Amino acid sequence: MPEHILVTRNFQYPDQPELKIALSRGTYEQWKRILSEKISPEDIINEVKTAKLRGQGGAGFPAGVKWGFVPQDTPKPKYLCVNADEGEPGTFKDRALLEKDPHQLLEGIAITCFAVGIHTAYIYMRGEFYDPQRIVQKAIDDAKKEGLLGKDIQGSGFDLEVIIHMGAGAYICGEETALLNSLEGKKGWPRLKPPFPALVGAFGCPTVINNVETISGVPHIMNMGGEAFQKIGTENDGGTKLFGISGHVQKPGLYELPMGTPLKELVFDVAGGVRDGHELKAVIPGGSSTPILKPDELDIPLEFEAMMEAGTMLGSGAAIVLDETVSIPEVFMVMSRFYAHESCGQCTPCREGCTWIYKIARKIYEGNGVPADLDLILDLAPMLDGTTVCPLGAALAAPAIAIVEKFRDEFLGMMKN
Amino acid sequence: MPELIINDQTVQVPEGTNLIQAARKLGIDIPHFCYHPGLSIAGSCRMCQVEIEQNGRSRIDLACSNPATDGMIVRTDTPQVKKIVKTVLELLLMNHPTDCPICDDAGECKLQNYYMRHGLYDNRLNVEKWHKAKVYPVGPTISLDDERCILCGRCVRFCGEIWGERQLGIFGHGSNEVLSNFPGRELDNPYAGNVVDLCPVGALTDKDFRFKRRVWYLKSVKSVCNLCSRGCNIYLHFDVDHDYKDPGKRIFRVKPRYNGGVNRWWICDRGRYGYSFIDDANRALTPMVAGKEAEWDQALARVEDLIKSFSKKGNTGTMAFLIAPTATNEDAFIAMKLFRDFLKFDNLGYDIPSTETLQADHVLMTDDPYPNRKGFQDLGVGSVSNRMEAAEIIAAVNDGRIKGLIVAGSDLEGMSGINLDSIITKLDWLIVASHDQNLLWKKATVALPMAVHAERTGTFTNFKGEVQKFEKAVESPGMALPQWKIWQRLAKRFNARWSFDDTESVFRALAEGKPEYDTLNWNATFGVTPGLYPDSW
Ligand SMILES: Cc1cc2nc3c(=O)[nH]c(=O)nc-3n(C[C@H](O)[C@H](O)[C@H](O)COP(=O)(O)O)c2cc1C
Ligand code: SF4
Ligand code: SF4
Repeated sequence: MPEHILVTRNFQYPDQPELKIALSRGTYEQWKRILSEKISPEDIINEVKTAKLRGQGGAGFPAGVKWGFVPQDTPKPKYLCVNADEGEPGTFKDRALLEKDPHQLLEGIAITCFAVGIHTAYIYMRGEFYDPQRIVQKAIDDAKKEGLLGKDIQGSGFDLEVIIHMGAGAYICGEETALLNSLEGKKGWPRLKPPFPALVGAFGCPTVINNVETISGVPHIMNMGGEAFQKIGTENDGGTKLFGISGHVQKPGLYELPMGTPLKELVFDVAGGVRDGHELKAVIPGGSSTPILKPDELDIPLEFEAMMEAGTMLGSGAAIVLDETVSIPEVFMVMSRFYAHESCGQCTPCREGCTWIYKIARKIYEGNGVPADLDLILDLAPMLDGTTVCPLGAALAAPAIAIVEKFRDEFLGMMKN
Repeated sequence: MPELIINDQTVQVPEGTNLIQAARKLGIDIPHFCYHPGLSIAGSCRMCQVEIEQNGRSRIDLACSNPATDGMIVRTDTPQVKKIVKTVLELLLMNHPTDCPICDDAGECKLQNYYMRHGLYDNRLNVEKWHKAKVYPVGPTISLDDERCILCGRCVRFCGEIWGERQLGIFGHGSNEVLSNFPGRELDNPYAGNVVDLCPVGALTDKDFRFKRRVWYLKSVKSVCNLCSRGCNIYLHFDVDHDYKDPGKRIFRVKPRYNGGVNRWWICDRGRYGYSFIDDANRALTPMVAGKEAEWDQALARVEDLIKSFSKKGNTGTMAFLIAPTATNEDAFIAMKLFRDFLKFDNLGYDIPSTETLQADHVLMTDDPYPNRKGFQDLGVGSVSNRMEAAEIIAAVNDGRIKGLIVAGSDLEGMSGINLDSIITKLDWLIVASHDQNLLWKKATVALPMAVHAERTGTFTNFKGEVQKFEKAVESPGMALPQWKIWQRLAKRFNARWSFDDTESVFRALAEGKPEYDTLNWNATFGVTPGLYPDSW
């Protein structure tokens, strides 16, 4: 097995969700070791910092640093929210982690909670995830019976309750503060920051929010040590990342690759390139919120900063590959419809701006566009970026600008005059 | 106190002051929709963005959610800020119906005002507008136009945070969002009318005011609500120059006037909609003597005769004077000077039960429907040695001990077990001073028409002891006079040595030796207010 296969190492075994099997393959070993060797929370946090584990939900914030923001001396309870909302179009990695290796996630949750001093963890799960819910719930129940979760874990005196909370299908509830509101039974509207969740999160208490994949990586850091983990990846992006590649490639699917693997390699080698007899037209590299790339722009390492420098984003690692059969104006219309629909409606620029952009996109797609419509989009879109409560507005704005600029001719071609 | 610089001007503000407030201190208006100082910060309209330089780093951020800190440098006028503000406005107006010609809010609408100040762009809309509910009754007193709503959430927060029950909500998401009733609830609370003031556009309008007047025809004075002992500060909005609908209607609406110590930004619906008595057809217009219209001189001469007929015979003990605490401090002062000190009435009372029982609540309303009970106590109306409860006076009338009765500002209807007809037969005479032709008016030996608070100036002292002045909006109808002037004229007939010509001199006299009164700056609150809402947000 290649050294860099970490979070997917047991994906090949259909029986991995069984606790006994998982235990036999080493799951929970790190958790037990931390408790028996009385490893200190600071040491765990430092290890995760050294590992350069980045948030895998899209923004890439260093996980150890985030944990460090949580106040240690607060009289309030603290919470962990595992973000299993997986709403970013094109993304299908968290579902796999939940279904195929739930105990890996639970071990990661346990270690994270121990490191931050948390006794209640929520897994906020996308509403449609019926199977993952069933599988993870059984895993929680089994782990509790085995004394790996619950009260006085392994006689250590440490308690941890893990609770699954099902969402109701809104994309915005994947945004961490909308998630908190939704968890509290409120409308899923993102919150104004500051205060950040590390200080004021769920139920007004300090809260860590991390993506499923981020948390699933934690036991591996404890297993191999932060430094070794970091070395798999690049200087600032440690370890591996799951890439879900979809669209017109030979071998669409989920691949775990070291951070920093060139995007080109993912598309052409790992996924086998574009399907036979067709030509690559574009790649949306990290979920629909990341700006589109043309075939000659793929020579970028898959890591957070490098992708930003290239004018796009690593995002959730969900690459969508488009060949020449795809109509870009149609892609744009469908994409902007998604954001117009999923805007929580709180901020004026996002609520009205996404809708306006969508309506213009539809107008162009329906053949009623004029060249000035493109200029209007380019003038309007930047006003959605950085002017709102959460980055949903920006998640349409940046891709909209890229797609209109890079495929202007194709848009113009759809116009009558 | 943090000191900061806004558009090159330095300002010091108390800790915790946000940038909108700090800028306002310099006369700089940072445009905003969802922010209101009386509500929690939503930060959602995104209109108040400014450039903030802090610790050497510059960013674009909200003025509402950022507290002023020492050394902050704020700019509201950079090209980028201006472009954001303009775009937010454009986006809000994008689906707005711009039906200003038929909108009650035209003239005091933030969208209109900001368009003129920060917009002035050419329309770029190249797609169809939304259509939403137009005349939707969200509650018994308020109508909603969802197309005009800009989803600022002020009304939602008001119900949840100030009244305490969510009666409105924003439903759906994206631009399908609509403001509507919380499922199964109406916008029906004793403070509901405040959402109309809070609504920055014409989405929520008062059924009471809809299509009654263009707001720019209205004039405004500072007044004080006289419907409970809180004494909420209000504006009276009136128009006597245009005849359009409702002939004879002069007062068109009551709006809250900010007073941090009394009512903050709010008033209750009782105060808001309770002004119709002012222009009521039942107003008392002319003095009456034995049921016939009379001149003031005739009427007061008759009053003089009646009182003298008793006092000459040494029968002051068989006369009583009852004055309701709806009267101002000036009224009570002159009345006491005359009846208590000069005419030596033995029986004085003011504790007249009201027809209304109020229940105090957590917002503003007190349980005392009288606006000036505290003033009466301060002026000694309540502490005269022979003060009688109204009920005792009426009992004394019933058993024949009192034969001459003067009642000012009440028809005694709120008193339990009272039979007005039998009282009349027991009395030799009854003198009534009233603003309307109340139950006693027609039965009175002499009836004297009074002005209401909107027609005069004066002061009330609220339950907390705050002395508050109100101003005259309109002339009193017919021959009606402020109560103190009636008693002053009567005093003249009795050759009293003192005489007052205007309200201010009465106030100065009553304030003497009373620091809470003396410190009221009489002139500070005077004058017709420029604009309808000088302190609106
Ligand atoms: C509109 C929007 C949707 C998001 N959806 C998700 C999601 O489905 N899953 C997720 O893990 N993060 C999502 N995020 C990112 C979260 O806000 C947050 O950054 C993340 O959960 C933090 O975890 P991480 O640091 O481990 O990535 C979303 C963000 C935005 C703005
Ligand atoms: S940017 Fe859009 S989705 Fe995010 S809070 Fe504002 S309106 Fe809601
Ligand atoms: S009705 Fe008015 S106050 Fe309420 S959300 Fe709409 S614009 Fe704001």
